[in-house]
Amino acid sequence: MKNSKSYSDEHLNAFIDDQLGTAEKAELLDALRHDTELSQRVCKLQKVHNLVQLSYESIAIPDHYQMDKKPVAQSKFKWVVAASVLLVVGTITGWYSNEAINTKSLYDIAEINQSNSATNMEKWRLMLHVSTANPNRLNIVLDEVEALLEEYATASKTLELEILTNSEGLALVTNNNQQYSQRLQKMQQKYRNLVVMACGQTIKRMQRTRGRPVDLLPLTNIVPSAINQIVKRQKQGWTYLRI
Amino acid sequence: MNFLEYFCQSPKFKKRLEEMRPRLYKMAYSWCHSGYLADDLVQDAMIKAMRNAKSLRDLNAMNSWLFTILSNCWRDYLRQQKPTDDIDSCTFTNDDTPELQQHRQNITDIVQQAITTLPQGQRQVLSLVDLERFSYTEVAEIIGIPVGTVMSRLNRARKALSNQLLELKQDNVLTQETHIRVVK
Repeated sequence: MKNSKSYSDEHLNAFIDDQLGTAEKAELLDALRHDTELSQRVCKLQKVHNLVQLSYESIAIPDHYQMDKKPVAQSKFKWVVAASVLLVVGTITGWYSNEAINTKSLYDIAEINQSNSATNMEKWRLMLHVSTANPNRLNIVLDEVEALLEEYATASKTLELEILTNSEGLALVTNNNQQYSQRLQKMQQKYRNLVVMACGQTIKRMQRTRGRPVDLLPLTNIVPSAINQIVKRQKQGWTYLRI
Repeated sequence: MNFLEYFCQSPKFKKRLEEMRPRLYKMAYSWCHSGYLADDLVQDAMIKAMRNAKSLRDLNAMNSWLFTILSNCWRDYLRQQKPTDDIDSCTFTNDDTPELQQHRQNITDIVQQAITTLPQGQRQVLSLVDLERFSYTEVAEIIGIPVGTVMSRLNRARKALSNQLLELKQDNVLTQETHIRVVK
């Protein structure tokens, strides 16, 4: 067994600070039982260690070091800001991607201002109010109208369908747009229950601004006012969809 | 700290950082023995910790990481300024009053006074080991010195304190014998 002097102070410090391995610790503990001088050396170092710990225990910590509810508030603030950012990003993304999304259904692009509660599926009267020149929307309108007319014709059910155009929606019934005019004319020739109308007020305005007559498709009816026509149809119980 | 960094910090990191503040303050105080300076050092360390949060890969290593930052702040401070004695803390020969005598009897003050006489390097090692119970390896990493140097500095510090506190003041309260009795 080693004597007291064979243990360095560094070794004893390491023992106090729990830095020795199990075997070294066991050996030193065994030596401490028999060596009073060694015990005194360890006691002194331990005492110094305890005094240092004690002297800094009572240090007054400044008040602003105490944990308060500030972090919670910051956390909430963070989530509020994150949610706002998400909302803004979502809105912008939705706004700009709106047109790019290929909407599959007429109902998806229509604003249903009134849904006729007395819809009789055997005889359905539907008014589509087109007030936009957006090519995506106009193509969807034509697709849906064609599908609807075909379905009702096949099922021998009655469908009265009116397409009312005003404002920019007049693009659907003018001869300037071959892609719509030809298709619409074909449908009008095929299905007698399809009526296409244009707002007289819009036509007048366009003629005034352009200084020349508006070239409408041959089978287009002109109604004095789109609003009057809509109100009239709604009173009669028609289903009204605004595109 | 930029906007993204702020939002990317995990709540755990912030909570731990907040919890560590008092400990950092105690450590800084043990190094500089000035409340104001300790506060400044901790603030500086906190800012640096938040700015460099990305460099901390393991939250379990956060303690030693923070004390390393604090140690660097302390080293920067020492580089910039020469150590000075605060005139208010100086004791003049004829200022020995009963209040001062009583003050000297306070164990805490005696020990802290003794610690202030230690060189900075020894004081830093001593406080990291005794106050925070860091291992020698961790202390070596925090201060950036070899483990052997940590052991020798610690040894010299404790020896010096032992001489000042336990051996030279035989009449002092610190050396009074403690009797352990078994109470039945």
